[in-house]
Amino acid sequence: MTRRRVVLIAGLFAVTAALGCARAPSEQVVVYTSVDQVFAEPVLLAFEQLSGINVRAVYDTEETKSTGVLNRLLAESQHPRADVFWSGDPIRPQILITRGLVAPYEPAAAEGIPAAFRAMDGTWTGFSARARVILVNTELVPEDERPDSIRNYLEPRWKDRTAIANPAYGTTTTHIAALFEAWGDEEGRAFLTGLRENGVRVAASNGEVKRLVAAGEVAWGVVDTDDAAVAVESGAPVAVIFPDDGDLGTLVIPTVAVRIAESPNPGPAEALMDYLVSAEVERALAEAACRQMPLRAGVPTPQNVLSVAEIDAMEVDYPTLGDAVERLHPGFMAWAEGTGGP
Amino acid sequence: MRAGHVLSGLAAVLCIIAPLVALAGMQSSGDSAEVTPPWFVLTDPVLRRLLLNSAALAAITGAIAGSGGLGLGVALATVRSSWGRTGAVLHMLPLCLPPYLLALGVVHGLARGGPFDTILGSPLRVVVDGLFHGQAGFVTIQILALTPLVTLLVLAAVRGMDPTPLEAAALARGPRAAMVRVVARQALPAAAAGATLVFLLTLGEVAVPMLLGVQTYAGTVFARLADLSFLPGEALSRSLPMVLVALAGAAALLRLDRGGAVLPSARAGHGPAPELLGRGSIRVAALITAGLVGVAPLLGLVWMATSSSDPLSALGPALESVGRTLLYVVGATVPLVALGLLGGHAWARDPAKQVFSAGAALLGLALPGVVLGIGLIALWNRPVTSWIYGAPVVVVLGLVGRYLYLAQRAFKVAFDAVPAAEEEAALVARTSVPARWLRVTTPPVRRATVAVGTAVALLVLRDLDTILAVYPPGGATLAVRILTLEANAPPAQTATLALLQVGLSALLGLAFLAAITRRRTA
Amino acid sequence: MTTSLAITGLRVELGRHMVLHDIGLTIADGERVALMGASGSGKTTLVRTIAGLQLAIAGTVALGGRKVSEGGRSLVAPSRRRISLVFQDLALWPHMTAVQHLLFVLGGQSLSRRKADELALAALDDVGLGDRAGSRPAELSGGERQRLALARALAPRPELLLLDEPFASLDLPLKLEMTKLLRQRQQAGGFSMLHVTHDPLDALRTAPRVVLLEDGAVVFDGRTRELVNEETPALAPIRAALREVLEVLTD
Repeated sequence: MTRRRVVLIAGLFAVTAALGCARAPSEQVVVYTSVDQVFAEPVLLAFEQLSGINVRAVYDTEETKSTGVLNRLLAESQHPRADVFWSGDPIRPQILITRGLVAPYEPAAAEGIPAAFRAMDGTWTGFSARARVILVNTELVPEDERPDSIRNYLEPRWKDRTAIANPAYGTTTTHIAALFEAWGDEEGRAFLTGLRENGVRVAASNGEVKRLVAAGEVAWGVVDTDDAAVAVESGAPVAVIFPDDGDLGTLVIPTVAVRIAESPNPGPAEALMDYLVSAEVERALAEAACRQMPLRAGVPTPQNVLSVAEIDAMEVDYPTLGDAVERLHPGFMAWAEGTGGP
Repeated sequence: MRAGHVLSGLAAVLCIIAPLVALAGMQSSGDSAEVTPPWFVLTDPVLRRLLLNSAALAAITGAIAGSGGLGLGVALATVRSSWGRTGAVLHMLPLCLPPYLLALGVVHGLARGGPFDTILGSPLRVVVDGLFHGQAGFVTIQILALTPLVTLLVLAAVRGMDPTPLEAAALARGPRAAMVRVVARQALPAAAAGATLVFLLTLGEVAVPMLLGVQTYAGTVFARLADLSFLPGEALSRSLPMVLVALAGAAALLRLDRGGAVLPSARAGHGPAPELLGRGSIRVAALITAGLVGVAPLLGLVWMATSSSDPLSALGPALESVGRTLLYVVGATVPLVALGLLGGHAWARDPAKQVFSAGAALLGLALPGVVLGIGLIALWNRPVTSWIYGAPVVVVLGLVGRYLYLAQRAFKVAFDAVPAAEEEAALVARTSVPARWLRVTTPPVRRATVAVGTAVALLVLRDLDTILAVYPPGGATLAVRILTLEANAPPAQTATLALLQVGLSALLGLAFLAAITRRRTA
Repeated sequence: MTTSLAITGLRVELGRHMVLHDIGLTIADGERVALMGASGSGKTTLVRTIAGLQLAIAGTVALGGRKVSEGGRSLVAPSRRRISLVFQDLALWPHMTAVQHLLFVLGGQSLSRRKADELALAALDDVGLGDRAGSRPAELSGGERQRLALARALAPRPELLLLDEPFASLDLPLKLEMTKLLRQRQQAGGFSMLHVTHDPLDALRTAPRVVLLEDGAVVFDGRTRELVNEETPALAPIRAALREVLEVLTD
């Protein structure tokens, strides 16, 4: 019996090792994405079925619980494993571009995407956007008292009653950096200080802000449109407000696809990028629970989904914003940790 | 030097030291490549306070989990009641889930209209709510999640005890005094080992404090490797004070292994006969209470799962990740048990020569998993080692690095209770090394092997930090899948997968519990 | 004469194996009895059953005129039977010092701390361990551990002392020393004694009466000196051993 157990254990070892050494199929594409898996996975599965190319994905998580696929890409930069990075925002790809880790590729399907949302040199292509919106609890805040600007965070009437996701992570980093760019560093710093002084609750993520608003633990908070859409769809007592209409404007955050330089599967990478930036995917993401906003005009959307052309979008140069994020991020981290600020 | 010293040292170098060295050599992103020296934490009052506070929270968690696990482990080993055993199984369930999922279950369970609202009523719910927020919430979640680890180790220790000293005590002073003054005292090294592991795992925990809005020192290390900041040198430098705290805590608890707590006896066997120690209604009640408390967070998950009409649609796509999970569980548990056995044996017999590999193994457990993960990428992501990096093997290496200390420490305690003379007799009889290991050295620690195997398998099954950093594309485990879907998937689907995770772990745990509590006929 | 121990119709099963068959045994107050038999004859099982560490399936055990078990049920808990047991492997507590052993067993009596300390140290003195009060079992020699086990058993002043081959592994001088000590303590304390041994010389030294078990049944119950003449087949090896000693001594 003992000998049998030893043989069994050795056999398990051998099987495990063999599986570990198994070679991957030849036609495949590896994509790292920071778009929520529940939204990205159906798109990638559809591509797999259409093209017959096996998609192997690494998904990101709600920002603060993981290392982030961006850092995995940076860590692997000496020997890239990913073919495509499908980013949930335009900032993280800028970091890869700055470090020379991106190979330019202009998908033919990108025609129709406004120039503000793609690079002319083909290094990045935006599509299907989110916006930074205010999610307000309708049971706690009557309609005539609802906030309409990001600056409302600093108003005394909202003291200790609001939440914001940690500015050290995710789209909140991008948003705060955009405010610094629009207002200047001094006013930006004053805003961050004001957040602390007005008792704004710093949540781990946008999802957490969504949960806090929906549960009535705070009156309102800024989240992404996909988080807001999920809250609305779930029947929570919430409403969505596009802030700073007619003023600063609402920050639009397109998802972005980039081709990784020296990736192992260049052909399938280009095929995937062609698919991702297509009108078909923009429509699919508009119809999905994330209710993302098409960048192209004329893409059919459900009734409650606006396209970017229909909102007062903040004027942003995304590559410049990317530089600002890199410059300011250490300060945001220090602010979040209570050890300083930008 | 024994083979155990050499092999466990090699494992520590391969799986922990080498990745950390590789991490130190990585380029940081951007211009901020200047690395803050580790002693900065002593001069910066905010960081200093954060480190001390984090250490205090971890110590409190370790102390409570250690004491609770000691009591529950002794209770479980000394009762025959099926109610008590059921309570124990429920108590173990939280170990099956990543702590942040437990926290999520509590958060949803405590929401207005949630199950706790219904069961407790609103005033009590507010009180319980206070217990699960902020630092108190972090400690509570960690205690719920990790006390079963201590219970398992104590259970194995008590079941393996020589019964005659316990019988002598029961004869002289009755069951209660025997339980407290002899059984619990003899199980103290096992409880101390468990408390050390709880302390280390809590010190390095990142997800739960972030979810609950608690600042921890590990969070600042994590932030240097997360998302927009890629500062591997800074992360490593910042980790060093944390490692020193971890070493101090582990060394303090190691002292409880000595002091004559366990005298090896030739009659070590199957623990005290439950009938000798009475029916133990208090012990049974304690186990049932622990079970109810343990299962409470899962109530929140069950409520989430049943809150929509289509919770089961998540199951089909998850099956592949279930298969991968089991692959990693087998692939990591077998080498961990083997290395733990060899290393723990060497540690018990010749402690001085095990200092390096035990210390290195402790690094693997004390550091946030992301630090080791990025180190693994730095070390193995090369053309010549593609066959390792792009495959599940790299995940196994990471898991071995992460849990090696746990395996070694638990076996060390077990071997401390086995007379060295038994092996010496086999050595003098000129038996072969494999025969000696199979027929003399390992049989006395059979229960410890089962306990360590169970604990390691459960921790691997619910591991996130290590697997997330390096899993091959398309190779997510069930725990990773739950994490990545959680953001905006329907809560019911997330909860269903979490309950699937619990179910898998429970089957594994039940099988091992049955093996460990089976009494041998004399 | 009052009865210290009275056993009737005792049957004990271990697993599916009947180890003791209808055992009957009576020990008077202050009487010393040796219990002998080959390995596997049921000696240890009988002693453990009397102590309450093993349950019988039938029969009665009475201690000091009080029934402590009957028909497979324990009526009195082991710790309340006013007996002590010296285990074969001594069963000392490795984390307690010598004096802590004694204090622990005295802790069940309502004694002041000072009185308990006094009694504990006196008990150690009685067995010659007065200067080793602060030592743990690992720090004691084999003989010292034996004495500690005996002191621990005697400290609570039992009415019946059970000894399960405690001297089996001792050399002859130590065995003689321990036997003498045991006799002295028994005479001083007046307790009854049941001493399990497989050595006929041990039996001769410690008890005037011997009970012989074979295959779980009593096959001889009489004076120890009668062992030499008794024709019971089971006693043949014992008789042979005793005769051999006598011949050597008288040669």
